[in-house]
Amino acid sequence: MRSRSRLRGTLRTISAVLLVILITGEAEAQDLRLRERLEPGTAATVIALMDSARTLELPTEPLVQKALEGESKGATGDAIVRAVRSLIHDLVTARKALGGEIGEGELLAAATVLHVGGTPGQLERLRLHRSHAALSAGLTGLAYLISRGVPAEQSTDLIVAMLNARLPGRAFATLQELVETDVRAGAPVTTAATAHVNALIRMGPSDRTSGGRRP
Amino acid sequence: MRPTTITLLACSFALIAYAAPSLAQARAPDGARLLGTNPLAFLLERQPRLFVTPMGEILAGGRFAQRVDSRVTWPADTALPDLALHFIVSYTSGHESYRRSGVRIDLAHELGPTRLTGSATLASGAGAGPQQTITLTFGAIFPVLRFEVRTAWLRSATSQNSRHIGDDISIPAIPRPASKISGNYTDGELHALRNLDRISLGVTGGYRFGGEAWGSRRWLFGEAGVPAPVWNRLSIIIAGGVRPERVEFAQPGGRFAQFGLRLEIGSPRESVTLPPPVSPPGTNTAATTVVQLGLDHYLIRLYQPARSSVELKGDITDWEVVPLRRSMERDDLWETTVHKPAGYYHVNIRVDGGEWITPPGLVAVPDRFGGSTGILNLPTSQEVADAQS
Repeated sequence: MRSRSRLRGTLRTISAVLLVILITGEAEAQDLRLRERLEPGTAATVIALMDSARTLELPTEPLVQKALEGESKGATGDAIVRAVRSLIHDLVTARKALGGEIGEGELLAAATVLHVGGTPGQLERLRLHRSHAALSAGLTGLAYLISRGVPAEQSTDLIVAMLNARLPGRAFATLQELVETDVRAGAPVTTAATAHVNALIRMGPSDRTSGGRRP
Repeated sequence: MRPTTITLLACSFALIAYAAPSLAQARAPDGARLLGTNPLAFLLERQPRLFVTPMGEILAGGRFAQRVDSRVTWPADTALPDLALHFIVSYTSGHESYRRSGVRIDLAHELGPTRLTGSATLASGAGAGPQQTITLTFGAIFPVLRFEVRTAWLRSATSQNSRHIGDDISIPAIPRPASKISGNYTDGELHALRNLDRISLGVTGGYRFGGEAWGSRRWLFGEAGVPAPVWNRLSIIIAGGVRPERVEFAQPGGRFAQFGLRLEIGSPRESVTLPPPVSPPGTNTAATTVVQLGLDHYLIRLYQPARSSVELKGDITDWEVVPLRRSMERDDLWETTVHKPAGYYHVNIRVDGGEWITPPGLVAVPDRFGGSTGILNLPTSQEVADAQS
């Protein structure tokens, strides 16, 4: 009996050590990439921001990627730090709007929605769909509509309607395709988006092949 | 420990390592479920591909040899997948002939900027080579470099048909009776690889630091692969230098010059695609597609006709520039494979050395640096299954 409990204790210790190694290993790998690619001062600031993000339980890999993106695009150290700060701000706001239990992909997509002009209030309207498999695609669709010039509130209405109709994730990509086709033909983007969302909803989630009839 | 035991242990480890995530995923919500529930089923759901490589070789002493290597590979992808199974058949003729067949399992795992690899080969042969071979290889792949340690155990091997004096000097073959050689050797090799447009260049240096030393202990050779201008399934391979003796497939060592053709036959890559790509404003062509090749393994393909180079950088490459290769299926398709979990990534491309732009067909969003970037969604297996149905 004693040996069994000793074994259990040993296993627990090993698990804890492995967990610590895993976490610190990941953090070190992130740090290494930053130190190798950024100027020392910028790297130190970004690493400090990542530590703050970790305490807020935010994913840190998107921050590393944002910093590396800045470096690869020739941004100054200040611009990189500003971009990482702004991303942290958007991630915090997005998580607050959508609730804590949300995947990294959805969180990042939601931060993008905020960055392109969406508001926390509009994100909150998607909160009910947190468990929807298509939420990430829906958020990408929302970012697309807003960045394409459809008013943010109206974009949110359209995306919420699609999520309410339980449309699959690829319906949002189909929407983008159809809207772009119409815009190229000269249609106003808001009109095209509204018409195609209505058509997709009418066809319902069971239709898995067509992108919807032309309205 | 016997070689067979080591190989069995390695294979068991591989299966456990790959079954564990599958089991974990099986308990996950529908959206995160894997295509297959075990690695074998997962592999067999993929398409195979056949490679045939006929080669002619001029060896030290002016001898000429021919060999044909062929393999059937699952999954049908030329890049390194996380798990791959190969059936290998080769035939060497020349002074003495050797036929060999076997099976190889490859594993790979991403660890930061490094890709760790391992493979185990079981083969048997007849003729001027070993009757049984077990080879274990472990390596690490960096952006331009690949390091590999390889150990081979051989049974009933005949020695090669040329002998070496010193490192670089060979004398013509002296046929030896098929002796019962049970040996092993361990090699360390470093490969430097570079792709220049459609030409791949490589230099390999190595040292045999353990076990039997048939011929040279040190080697250095270069090789180049050039796609044939007439048919994109055919590549011309040119190599030369000093190479090690690889008794397990009757490859003589020493100085050599090699000319060969590589023919790729069989099924095309799987066409499990997302919805049709979307054209951005101002264009009228299909643009960017993502094909799932396996667990956390995707092919990204761009339609870019009449281009001489296409490069990509993004979250999926740590924002390092990665040149895309021209598709073997069509000259106007450019592609690369990535090993990343399903999810949401940002990418940019550069065509013919121009400006970095958002890949056509992707949603463009501001990048927080005054430019824009495209959103690339690597789909989950469930999303792919939905799209297929």
